Amino acid sequence: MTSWTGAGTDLAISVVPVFVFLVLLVFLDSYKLIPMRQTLRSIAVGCGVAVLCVGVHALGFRLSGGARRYYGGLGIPLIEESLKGAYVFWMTRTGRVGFMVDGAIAGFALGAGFSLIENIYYLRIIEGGTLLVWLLRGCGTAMMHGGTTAIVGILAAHFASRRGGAGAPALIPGLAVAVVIHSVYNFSPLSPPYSAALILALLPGVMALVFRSSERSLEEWLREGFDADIEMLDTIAKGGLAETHAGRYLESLRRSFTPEVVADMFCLIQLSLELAVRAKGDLLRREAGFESPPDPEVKRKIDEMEYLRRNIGRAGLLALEPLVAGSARDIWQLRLLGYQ
Amino acid sequence: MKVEGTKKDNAVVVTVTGRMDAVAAPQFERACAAWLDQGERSLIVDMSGLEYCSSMGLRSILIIAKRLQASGGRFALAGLGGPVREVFRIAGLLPVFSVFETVEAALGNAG
Repeated sequence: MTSWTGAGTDLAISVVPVFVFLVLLVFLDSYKLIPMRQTLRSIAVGCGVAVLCVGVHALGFRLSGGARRYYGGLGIPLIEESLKGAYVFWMTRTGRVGFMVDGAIAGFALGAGFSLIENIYYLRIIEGGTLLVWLLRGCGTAMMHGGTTAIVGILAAHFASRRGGAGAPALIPGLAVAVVIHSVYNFSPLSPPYSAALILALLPGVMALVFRSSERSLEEWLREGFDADIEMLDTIAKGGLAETHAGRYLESLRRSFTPEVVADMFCLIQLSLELAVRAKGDLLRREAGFESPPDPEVKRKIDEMEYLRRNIGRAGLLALEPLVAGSARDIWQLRLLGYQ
Repeated sequence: MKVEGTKKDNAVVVTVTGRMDAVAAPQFERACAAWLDQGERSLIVDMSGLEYCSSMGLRSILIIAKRLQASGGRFALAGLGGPVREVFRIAGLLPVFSVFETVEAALGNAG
């Protein structure tokens, strides 16, 4: 009974710092754009990745033979960060993460889940570990795991926000930084207490910078995007689309598509703009502190959008890409309204 | 943009004319905040002379509305029409506010 209590205390010490930090990040996010169930799912995925890594590393150590030290210092960071980063990247690519703050929270949650399982594993293999060992695992290794995956999420969200930037290259810079940090941590010439102190000193500052920059970026995107979308809708309403670049492009598509499909393309552009304005209106509401209850009108427009997309077909949608849903953030804002 | 506030019955009618853009929106926000700081708890914004409202204008209106709501006050929009009303409608912001055809109707509803 006593050993169970002791193990529980050790585990708590080794994971409490990372989960407290995660709660702080969620609390500090003023727009609250990541739903709680998505954060919990990220934690669960982190747990799954850690279980997978236990098996992969057992095999990796067996195969690495005399190069075990290098597998520990380079192979482990590369494998763990790639597997953790893959999920964060998928979230960005599918519009579940729109801004750096969302990427930071999703990534940190995943890293927290990872460290939970990793510490349960170490609880079984480190016998007689002192309080200091678990404290260092909690404040050092666990925070490092949360921090590196948060960096992957932050940079993936940053690069994916550019038009056409949601592809694999959006993952590479964050992944490279995460692998280097993880590797340096594993090979660190500093003693573990100093490494943990360094992580604890740097991480809050980095996160504060990311939060400030992300909120500024969101405000800027909101302001500029809203006004541009409204201007375009106004142009359409006044029948002036043909004079714009978008109108001329749409006109050129008449050579390749039937008139019915081109008409649906026009409707899709208008509907996408209306939904984009609506999503930004919801964000303005949230920013001011108002609720955003579900609206049947939005549901109807999303259904109509689905119908139009089916009618236009894959080739037509590809041709329309320069005008509709060009970046991961465009998909993200539709997801904000419940679009799957 | 021109912003003018007048006390009528138990409410303050803030009349805005012209364009409420990034430059003018803070002016509206400051004018409303000044009335609220004086203890006024009922604000009617007459938008019949407003030609244009950008995201910054919407943000300012939402901020003032929230401030009044939080202190148990009343905030209403009057004379909202044309393209400005369309912006509110498409952005899904009409349900947030009490909207009246005229200032008189809003004053009559002040109870």
